[in-house]
Amino acid sequence: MEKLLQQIVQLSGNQKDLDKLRKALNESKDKVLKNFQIIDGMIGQLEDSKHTLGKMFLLSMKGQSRSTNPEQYLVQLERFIPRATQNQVQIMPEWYSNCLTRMTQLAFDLKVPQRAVYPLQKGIPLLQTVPELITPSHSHFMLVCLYTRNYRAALPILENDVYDIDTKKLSITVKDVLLYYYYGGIIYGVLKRWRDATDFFEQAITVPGEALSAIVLESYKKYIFAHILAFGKAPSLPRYTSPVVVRLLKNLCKPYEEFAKAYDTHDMGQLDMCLATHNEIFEKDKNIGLAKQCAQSLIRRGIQRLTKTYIKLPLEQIAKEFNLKSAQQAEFYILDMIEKGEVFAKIDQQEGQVSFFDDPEPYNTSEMSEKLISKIKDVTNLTEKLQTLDEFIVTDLDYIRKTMDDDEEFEVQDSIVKDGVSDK
Amino acid sequence: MSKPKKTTIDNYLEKKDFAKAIKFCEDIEAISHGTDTKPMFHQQIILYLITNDTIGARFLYKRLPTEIKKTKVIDKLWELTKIMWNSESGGMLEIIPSINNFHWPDELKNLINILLEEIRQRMLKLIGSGYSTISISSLTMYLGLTDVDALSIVKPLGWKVTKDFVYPQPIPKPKKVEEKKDSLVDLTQFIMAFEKNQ
Repeated sequence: MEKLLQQIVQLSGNQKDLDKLRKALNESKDKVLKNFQIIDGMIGQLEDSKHTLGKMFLLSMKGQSRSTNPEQYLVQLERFIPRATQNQVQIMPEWYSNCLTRMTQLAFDLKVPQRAVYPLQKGIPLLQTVPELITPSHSHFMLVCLYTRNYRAALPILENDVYDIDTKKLSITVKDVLLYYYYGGIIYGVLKRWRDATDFFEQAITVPGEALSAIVLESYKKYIFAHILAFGKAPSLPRYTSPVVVRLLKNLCKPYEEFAKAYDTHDMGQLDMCLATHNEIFEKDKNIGLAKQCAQSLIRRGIQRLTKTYIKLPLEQIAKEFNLKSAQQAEFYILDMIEKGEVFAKIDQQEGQVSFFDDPEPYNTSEMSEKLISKIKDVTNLTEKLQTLDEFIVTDLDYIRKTMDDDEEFEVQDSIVKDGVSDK
Repeated sequence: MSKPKKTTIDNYLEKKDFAKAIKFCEDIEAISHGTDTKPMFHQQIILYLITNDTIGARFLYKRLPTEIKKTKVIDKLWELTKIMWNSESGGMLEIIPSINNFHWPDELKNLINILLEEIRQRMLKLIGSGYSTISISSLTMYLGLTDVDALSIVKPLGWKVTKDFVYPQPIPKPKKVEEKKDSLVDLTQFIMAFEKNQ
């Protein structure tokens, strides 16, 4: 074991040495497993950033021992994770990933999940080769943020769209991905970013599959509410959703479907009735808060619809229409909507009425053109990424094998043979 | 007596860079767990309110350790958060009086003044775009000022004032200094992208 420590110290320099070290460490696994008691001593003698590879190996091996002191182990991981060096992490990302997972587990076990926030914030980017890569820690991080109510902390990771996955280097499962989108959707919902929430739930629902997962089911329930809050109407699932999943969801979420239908009638009485009928189910599913927010949003949506029909309306009448306490209450509502850009209107206190008008944005400012340019850039970037992905798939051997039936395969082989002959 | 040392937060506040100040507080909060670092919860909540992020303020309060929750300052900050949260039921009429009827500790006075100023500016902008006429009494309530002070602010903006009413005008956006952008490069790139994907 002395030798191993020496190797770690000596071989933590250039890439070639590190490769050697990786092999040496891999071979020493059994020995380390038999000598748990000296791991701590070795860890104490190593530096976090200089000897990242060796240290993450030892720390991840330590997780297999049953006799560790959890508090001490958590402290070791918590200190090490943010200080690791990325190029060494990338030699064996699995070990580092193990450290992150153990750390999160320990923080939950010791009932201090808030201590996992910072190491995960720092650790996930080290684990990613590109910011688009999803890691097993993504869903863990979301869970930690939910538990600690530290929703804003999740944003730097959440706002980075992920579409890359590397199952060779990191063992990530479908469940990890589904949970990431489910938790992420909830976080966006808490922050009232309903469009983003809708997107995230939709991602979870539309994952290709032949069976229904509990995560997809729960995502769908929340998806309906999030969509209503984002767009003011019930959703219809994208066409690429797996048909089996669609059928099962519609069968299993009848109360939710009814709620969505009731919302689309814009009739407050009908929606309240539906809410009362299914109150228990929504309560049990912990979706009652979302349902109530939807019911409240009817007022705002109603006011928005008024602007399409009327140019001027007395505040008194608006209050009556939506069962508000007073004309003043209607004034507060409209003022709040004006500030949030949900409606374009001016309140006339002298006459006690409000006049509606169209979006006054002239679309000729430099800010607007900047916005437009950045949107176009987003789209062109996305197109490029899609093309790369498309090229990768159509040239992938497994994909070609699967999509061609036997006959075609022969034809291709034939033509290759012929081409080969004619070349000569 | 020596002057108190300027902190990082003060630097951000001077530049009105509230986003950075918030980030600073959030980072301190993140590393404070399990270490001796002292989080700056009071400042953090006020900063959320300054940026009108009532969601941020609300959940910071909810995740505060119980022993911290029981102070008078935190109680007051929670009250302010709830008032601002209920903007659709007239919270904005109560917010300034509520801030003013509390004895703020010295180290928070600067931030509280910034909060008052930001709310006033926000309301002024909103009244400018949201009202064609507003009674002087509503105006003074929204701004949390006396009649005289309120009118001395709106008159220079060109708002007409009669005996009981004010006729607000939208407040022009501060003109951004036009940066010279390489729009030709952008344009070329777009065209190339479109050609390729036809």
